[in-house]
Amino acid sequence: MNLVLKVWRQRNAEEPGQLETIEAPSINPDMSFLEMLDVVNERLVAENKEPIAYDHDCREGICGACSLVINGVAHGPDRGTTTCQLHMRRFHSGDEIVIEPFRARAFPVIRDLVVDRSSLDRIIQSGGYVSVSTGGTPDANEIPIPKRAADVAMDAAACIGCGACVAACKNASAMLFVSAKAAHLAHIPQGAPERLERARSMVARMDEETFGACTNTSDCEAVCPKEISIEFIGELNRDFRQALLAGR
Amino acid sequence: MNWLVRGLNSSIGTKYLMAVTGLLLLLFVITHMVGNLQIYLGPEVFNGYAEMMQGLGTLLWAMRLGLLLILLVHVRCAVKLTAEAKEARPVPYAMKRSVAASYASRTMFMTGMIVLAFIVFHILHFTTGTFHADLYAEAHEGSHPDMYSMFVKSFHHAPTAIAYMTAMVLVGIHLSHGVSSLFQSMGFVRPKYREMIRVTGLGITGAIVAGNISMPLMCIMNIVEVPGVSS
Repeated sequence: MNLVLKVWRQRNAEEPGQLETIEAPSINPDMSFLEMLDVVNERLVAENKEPIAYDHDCREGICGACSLVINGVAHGPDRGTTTCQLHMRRFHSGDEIVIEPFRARAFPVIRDLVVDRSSLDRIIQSGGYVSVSTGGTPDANEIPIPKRAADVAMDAAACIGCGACVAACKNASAMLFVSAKAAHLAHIPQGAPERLERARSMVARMDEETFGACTNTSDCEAVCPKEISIEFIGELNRDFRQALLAGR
Repeated sequence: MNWLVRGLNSSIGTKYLMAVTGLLLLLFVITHMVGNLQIYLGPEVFNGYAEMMQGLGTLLWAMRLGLLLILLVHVRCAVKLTAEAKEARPVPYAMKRSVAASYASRTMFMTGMIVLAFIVFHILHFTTGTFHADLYAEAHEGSHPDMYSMFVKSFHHAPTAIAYMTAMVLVGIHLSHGVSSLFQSMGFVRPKYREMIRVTGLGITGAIVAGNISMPLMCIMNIVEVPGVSS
């Protein structure tokens, strides 16, 4: 496959960036998207040019490190898939592929396609935890948790914190991320007592980090590699309302 | 009170205000339409309804003031949220595709602003009598105002009828997202309600658009006419 990439190049957070056209000849359709970028980078290095900077780690779709907005869609055209699990057979020889970083004020570009997503970490630090030690791993079934509650908590806990929801949202809202991180604790006994306080503090931090508000467009749900449902956003809205109106 | 102001000023709080005022405006739009549909029951019923509303006096002004307040909160929240969303992504995408978001959900601010302009126009038309002033004056000649004739004659004027029908399409686009979205914003959703809320939202929207468009349409097609006046 011969491809033409239009890649966002930006030296650092201060300097403005621009799209650069880079040829990607003789690409194997069985390569993953990141392997394709590796091959392109090897060529760039051989030509004494600056390689493209991009985030990656596990390359098996579970770590949340890889990002990229590919042809206008976060993590590219496949549903429920991270960029590292996207394969070049999804494209056709001769295609032009536009590759941009996840864009948000809360995700400043570090270099090229690498953005700083530590704003998400700071939201977790604001309340995305259980504030007392609950001890080591308990014996199975020592704490009874209904199957349905465990399932819902697990659905929310599938969030890998990649930030695709923010990238896809027209408002750069982090609501899907925050709601998943609140819900995976809210549904289990260890996390339930702090449910309302957690909603309040995480939302406050989310606002401080300059993410936008939610318009309920559901674009986040559609690009989420873990297919997290926007039902959790409704749940966070409910918890936030209860935290506001109830409580002391 | 500080906690309440702070809470309602947060992103979710603002959305909550948006949803509550949106719901109240929706209820008004439905009541307003049901009232106006009495045009099909003839001049006596319609003029009686108009006179009854005018006869409310202080209560009418209280309702108008309340509505204005609700509308102002709704618009103010929209301006705030839109400005914040713009700030949240200072560098736009060179290429951006929506995967699931409906056209309506992406254009709420724009359709809302057009509908707001229409509301101003609508008040200038039927409430203050600034637009179609001749018809308004004519309707108020007798001892009892003849709003029925003004209504029908206004819509015999094709550009007016078309403007109203166009505005109703925009109201429809706005509501097709707004009605179901307000339940999500208020947190009144469970996964099992999701489909039900979506379908109900579209149903209510369809009924409002159809009911409101029918009136200018029936007038312009001369199906609803002023008795004794052939056009």
